[in-house]
Amino acid sequence: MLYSVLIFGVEGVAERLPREEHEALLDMHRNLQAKLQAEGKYRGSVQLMPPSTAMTVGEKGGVVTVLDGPFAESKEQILGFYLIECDTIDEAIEAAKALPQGVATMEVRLVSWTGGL
Amino acid sequence: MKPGLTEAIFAYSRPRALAALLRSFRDLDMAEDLFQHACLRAAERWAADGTPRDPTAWLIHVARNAGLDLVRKDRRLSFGDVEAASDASDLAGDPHDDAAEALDRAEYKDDVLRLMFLCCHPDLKRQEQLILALRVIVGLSVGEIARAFVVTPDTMQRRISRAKTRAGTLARVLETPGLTERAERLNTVQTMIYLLFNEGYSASRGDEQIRNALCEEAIRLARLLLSLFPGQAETMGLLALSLFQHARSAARIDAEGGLVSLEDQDRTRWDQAMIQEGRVLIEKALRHGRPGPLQVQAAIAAVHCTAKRAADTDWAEIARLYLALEAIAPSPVVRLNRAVAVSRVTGPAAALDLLMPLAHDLARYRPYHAVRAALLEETGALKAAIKALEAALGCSPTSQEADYLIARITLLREKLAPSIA
Repeated sequence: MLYSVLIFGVEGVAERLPREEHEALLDMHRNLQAKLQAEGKYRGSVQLMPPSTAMTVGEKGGVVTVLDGPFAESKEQILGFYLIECDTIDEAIEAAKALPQGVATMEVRLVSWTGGL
Repeated sequence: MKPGLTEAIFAYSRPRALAALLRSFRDLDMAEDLFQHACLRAAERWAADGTPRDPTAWLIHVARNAGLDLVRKDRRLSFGDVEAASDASDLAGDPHDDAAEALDRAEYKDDVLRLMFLCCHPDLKRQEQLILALRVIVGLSVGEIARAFVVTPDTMQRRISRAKTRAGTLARVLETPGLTERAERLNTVQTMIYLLFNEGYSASRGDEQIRNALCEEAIRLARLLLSLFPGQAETMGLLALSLFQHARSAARIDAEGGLVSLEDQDRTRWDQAMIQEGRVLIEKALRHGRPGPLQVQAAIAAVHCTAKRAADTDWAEIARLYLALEAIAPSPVVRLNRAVAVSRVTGPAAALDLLMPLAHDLARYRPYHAVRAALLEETGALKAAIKALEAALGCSPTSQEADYLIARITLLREKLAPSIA
């Protein structure tokens, strides 16, 4: 079954880490990707640009409007996600645990449908 | 938790927390002291209990309560202080209290804008604005700021104190702005961030590391401003322009520390992620159809940044953009830059025509003479080109620039010699 690991965090905290700590954080991502790849479970991962680059498209009073900024005004924003082939949710949780904690919070959720992958 | 992460959270929270504390207590020094106090408490508590879900709210909550204690202990309260205290007590509940959070969100944007505006109030001198922004909003140490401006820490401490005293009296009178006033404040703050970036970008002084830090902090401030006012096209332009310029920083300095011209830079060393972010921001800004000087400058930088090789540069587009910039924000330097672009499209003669009216205004501006020299050389007017280079030499070049100018003059004289003989 395909699981997503959605990464939420406050934009602009991780990049303020001292260089070696930031590098260690990236290493955790690289290690997880390599491990998943080796196990044949890796279906891709995405890092998003800062939320200020976002635009929000939606309908308001029957008109499609385009607004600047991310959809949610919350402090924590989606920063990226992983797609992982797992037998159980426990496996997906293990993957989320292997990612840097403290700078971000991970949401693990089963994928319902994909196209184009 | 690693100390690096705690420090990163403090740095992220600083402008947001100071802004909230400034609203409650209307005292810049007090806000800074309270934030400092909250950070010390956090360093102990978070190590034991873990980081709270919303660290910034935690810091504001602890700092505010400490501030209220101080105000309550002070028996000699003036009327204004009592008001400030009661205002703050409304917000002193649990950090996850709904009412406090809602109030925070409603006034949050103007709070941060107020803090930023305070640091670049028109009553402050330009350099005072920059050092105050770096000390108060960014939280750089006095030593770091002293290094950036190449003065001793003692001198910098005096300058900061003077600027703070001035800003301090303003803190008490800055109310929540109306629409027009908010636009004016935004403009002032944008200009300050732009100047801060340029202070780091212009290679004239300070070591490379601290200059780089100034650029990064300016980019963060632009990001913060845009996150608060996401529909501001000029703020998008400001952030895009800063990103385009900063994307080239690694390729801009050679091994000896000298500047490398845009044309000679190794473009594979440009930061493509920054360039892409700049591009989407400028595309977003253009959708508003309200071009401003920062947006147009960013659009020009975008043309340079997206050319794979220097020879691929779309000079016709750059010439058009400079024409647009001249219409919005005319200046002799903009005209000079347009002339450079025009020379690449239609040749040196047309460019020299454009420069004609600038002779007086830019008589002391070295790049003007250097550009003229290059254009004159292209048209074959070698004697006039030598004169222009000599004029450039008279505009206090750095020793590196002087060496270059003298070498050009020698070369042109040698070219000229056979025709004289």
